[in-house]
Amino acid sequence: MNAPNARDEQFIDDNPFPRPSADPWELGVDVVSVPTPAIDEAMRLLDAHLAEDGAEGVVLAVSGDYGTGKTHLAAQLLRKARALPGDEARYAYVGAQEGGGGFHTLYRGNFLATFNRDDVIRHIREYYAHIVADSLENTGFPAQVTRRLRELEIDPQHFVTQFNLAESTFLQRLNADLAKVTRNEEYGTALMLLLRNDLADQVWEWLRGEEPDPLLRERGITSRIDDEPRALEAMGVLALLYRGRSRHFVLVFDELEKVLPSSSRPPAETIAAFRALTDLATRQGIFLVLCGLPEFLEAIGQNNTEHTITATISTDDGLSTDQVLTYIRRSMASTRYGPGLGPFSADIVQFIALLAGGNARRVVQICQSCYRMSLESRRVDRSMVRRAAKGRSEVVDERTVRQQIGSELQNQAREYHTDHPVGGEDGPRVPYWVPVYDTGCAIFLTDSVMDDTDAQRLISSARAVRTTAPRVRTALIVNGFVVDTVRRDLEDGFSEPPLIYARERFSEDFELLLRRLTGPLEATEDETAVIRANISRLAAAQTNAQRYMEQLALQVQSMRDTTERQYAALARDLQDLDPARRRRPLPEDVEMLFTEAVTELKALTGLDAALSEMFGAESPGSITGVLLRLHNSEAVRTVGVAKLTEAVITAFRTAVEDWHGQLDGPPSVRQLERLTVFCRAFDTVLEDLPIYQLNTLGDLLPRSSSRTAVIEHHTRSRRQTDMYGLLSELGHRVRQAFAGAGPGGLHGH
Amino acid sequence: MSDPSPNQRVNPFRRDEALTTPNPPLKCTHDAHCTCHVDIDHANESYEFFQTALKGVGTLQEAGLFVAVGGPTGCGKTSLVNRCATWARKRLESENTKTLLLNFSGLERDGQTIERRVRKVGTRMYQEVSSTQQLVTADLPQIDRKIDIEELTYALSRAMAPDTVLIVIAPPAERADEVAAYWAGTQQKMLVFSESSDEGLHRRKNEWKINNVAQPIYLRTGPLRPGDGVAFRNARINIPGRGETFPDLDPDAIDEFTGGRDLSIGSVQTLLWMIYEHYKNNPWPTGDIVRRRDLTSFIEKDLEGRAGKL
Repeated sequence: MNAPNARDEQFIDDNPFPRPSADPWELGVDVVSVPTPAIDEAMRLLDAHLAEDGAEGVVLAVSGDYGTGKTHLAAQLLRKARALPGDEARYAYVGAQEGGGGFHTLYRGNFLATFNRDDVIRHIREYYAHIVADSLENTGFPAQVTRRLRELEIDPQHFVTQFNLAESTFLQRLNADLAKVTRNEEYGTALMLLLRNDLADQVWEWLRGEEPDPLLRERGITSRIDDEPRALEAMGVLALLYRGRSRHFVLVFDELEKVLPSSSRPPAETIAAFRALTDLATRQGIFLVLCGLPEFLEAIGQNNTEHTITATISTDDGLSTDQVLTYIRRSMASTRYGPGLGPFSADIVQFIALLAGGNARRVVQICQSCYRMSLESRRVDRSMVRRAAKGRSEVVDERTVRQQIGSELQNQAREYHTDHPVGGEDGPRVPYWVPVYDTGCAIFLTDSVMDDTDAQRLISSARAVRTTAPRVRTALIVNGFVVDTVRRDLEDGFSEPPLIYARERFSEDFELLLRRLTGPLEATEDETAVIRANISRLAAAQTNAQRYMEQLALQVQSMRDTTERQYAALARDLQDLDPARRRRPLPEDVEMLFTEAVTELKALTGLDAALSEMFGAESPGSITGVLLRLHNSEAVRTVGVAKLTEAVITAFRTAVEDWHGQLDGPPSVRQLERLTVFCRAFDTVLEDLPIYQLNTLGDLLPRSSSRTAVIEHHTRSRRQTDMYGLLSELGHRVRQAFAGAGPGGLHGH
Repeated sequence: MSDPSPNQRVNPFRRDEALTTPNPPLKCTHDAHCTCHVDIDHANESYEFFQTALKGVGTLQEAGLFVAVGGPTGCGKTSLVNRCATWARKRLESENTKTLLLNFSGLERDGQTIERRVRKVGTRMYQEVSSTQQLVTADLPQIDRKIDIEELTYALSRAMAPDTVLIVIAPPAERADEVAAYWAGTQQKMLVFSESSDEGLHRRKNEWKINNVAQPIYLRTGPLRPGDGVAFRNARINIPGRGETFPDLDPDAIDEFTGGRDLSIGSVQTLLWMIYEHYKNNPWPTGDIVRRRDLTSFIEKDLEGRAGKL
């Protein structure tokens, strides 16, 4: 086959470098990796762990700055586990979500998204299947049945029902097993109940942190997963469940710095619960990987947990030029270029390594852009690398950074000036000037500093300011990156090391920078003056906060108005939607259930008959029946109960009719669950209606004046007996009518 | 012999109650010594223990009797309850006692707390008794509030005529707590049955004390024991038509099939029901006798054919 020519090739996207949007932990995708001390050490730990049956768990903390390859390292570990044959090892990745929110948020969000309901049920069913299969060993049930049960090729619940096996015994054994596995009786019961269709919703809601339903309470589930320690405990429990019967389990928590509070240490109980989780992993043989920025290790208190953290690996060393070379060479192997460096030269690789400062993510991003830019020329040059480096690092435009700096200064109630001439109109101008008493702080802003020329230009600007006003303190904010070769010069050229803009933590970084800048200047002043100035700033900050809250309130109100308008529009749309379908009659059998209940109820009170007599054609004006009812207060009350009951039945019927109108075919399990909710609501309301009083109607109400009185009395006696049964079973019978319909059953009527 | 035509074939494991399900509890109303009930896991002992207890109570007018029945699913709890209740009713009526049998075993339990379900049973008892005029002599108090079963059944007991007995079969209880609630509601003139598969029931029964108004007994059912399979086989197979309208069953087939493991009579009955249904329309096994291997290969084929798959 002929090789494609260059013109065709440029349209083929064979870029081997992953895009920034690609999930680095997408385990089904082959990724190019280069050996680094961090990865080698992590792999060695995992290999040792996997090699040993019943090995103790490992808690591996991986810390490093943004883009240094923590997630890549974790993904390599997961790939290793994934590659093991059969069910040798299981694995899971849980990344923290944007916005932080603590362990509880992590649990309810990404953790339960990974350990989702279907997966959890599948794992429980696996335990159940083994229990059932164990009970059938050495019986006449074929060996292939037990094997298929264990492998979940046969649904164990269906099988137990089909052969009328001892379900109660199996479920109680499952409960005990799960309590043992999870080391927690409450979870043992809850997880066992997840297998029951009638309780699975309640259990899942409880696992999601809701109050336990009364049905769970009476089964001993009384706590609530509503705080950090309980969320950590729940994560440990589900991890143990997931590990199940496989030999190994690799669990990765990534970006933990988003979970832990940045400004303070977590409460002692959270630390204790976190430690309990790591202890659990160690004892139960789980390979637990905790990834995050270096501060996450500080936040959990290395000293407190060092005996449960088996090893700590830092990815901060970065990639050397040789490693970048290896990386590019390996990546090229899958491209049109084949073995070698492709469009990259050794010199360019060195330049990339230099500009990226060893940061793995930046190397990948630069390579990705350069490869794309070189599709036509088939050669990567230095200008491409520069463009790629700047384009990737300056993730937000300068205007956004400026807005954020201004906003942070306002929040801290700092007086500040922009484009300010220091020391008079002719003095050197600085982008931001924060006055402090008779001097101030000069803050410079720049994009990437990629060489010595850039660096020297900035350092000269700072020097000029200090020459004009010697006490001024200076700082540099970089919206981009700084090449390693000039980093030291920049640190020396300004009062503080350069602050590299990172959107996620700029607020905290900037606050700290400002404190460091202003601190020495304020320390030289009279203490009272400093306090006074601080109080004045605090008051201003409070005003800012107040204004912010008011704006927020307005926004919330505006959102609410919008939402209400949308709801109204939606309601209108729904009314217009397919009226024919909405009016579809109930199946005959179901309709009969409602009709029977209402008819019996009406006949029982006799009120409608009395009103007919009063206004009817046969004996018009006869008010005796109605009056007799009104004169007997007990009868009035009872008739009231009957009418109220009738209204409840009518409302129930309407709900069922609407539900039925939404069906496209036989009701699904989910749809039946919705119907069950209505039936339960009806049962609940019925429980609170004093329908026992209906029993007394026969004695309290006058008999009809018609000649059918004797028969009517007889009928009433029967009805009094049946009424309670009729009503209390109505919900059940309605549900049964639909549940028992099956495909093409009632629905087709 | 040659197989009879399908329309002549019968299923000896089909019972009158078995219209759609292969494993209904026995609802036999025969006299005590019928062959419907088989002595599985000493079920006859339990039955006799109940009979003795009922006699020992003296008259139910003096002290009610509460019968808790425990055991795993499919081990014959409901059948035992039905058997005891039927015998008790006949015996009481033979002594000129008026009885009312309330069977709540079909009462729905999904989605209801124990408290709600027990109250429902109590209310239903109240409704049924109050509408059966000949059982009640005194006025029943009006109920216009939620009250617990104990209070309700106490009022009922007081209002019931001296020569009457209420026989109640409570709905199967998932948990021992519910059984305890029915025990609390047992009063004079009442015979209450409550069954549960909760393994904790055996332990909880020790908490029930004999008192002035009622006495509790506990009956247990369990899986098949050695020899039970033969007894069951004999009771069902040794009837006219064996080998003619249905294939014979090897006397050892059941015991060989269970292999000494804890299988319930319910599961064996279900399996035999299924295989004999199969033989109604299919060629019979070699020698017109069903052996253990036929049961095993039937399951294999059945699973391949239709059910049990995910």
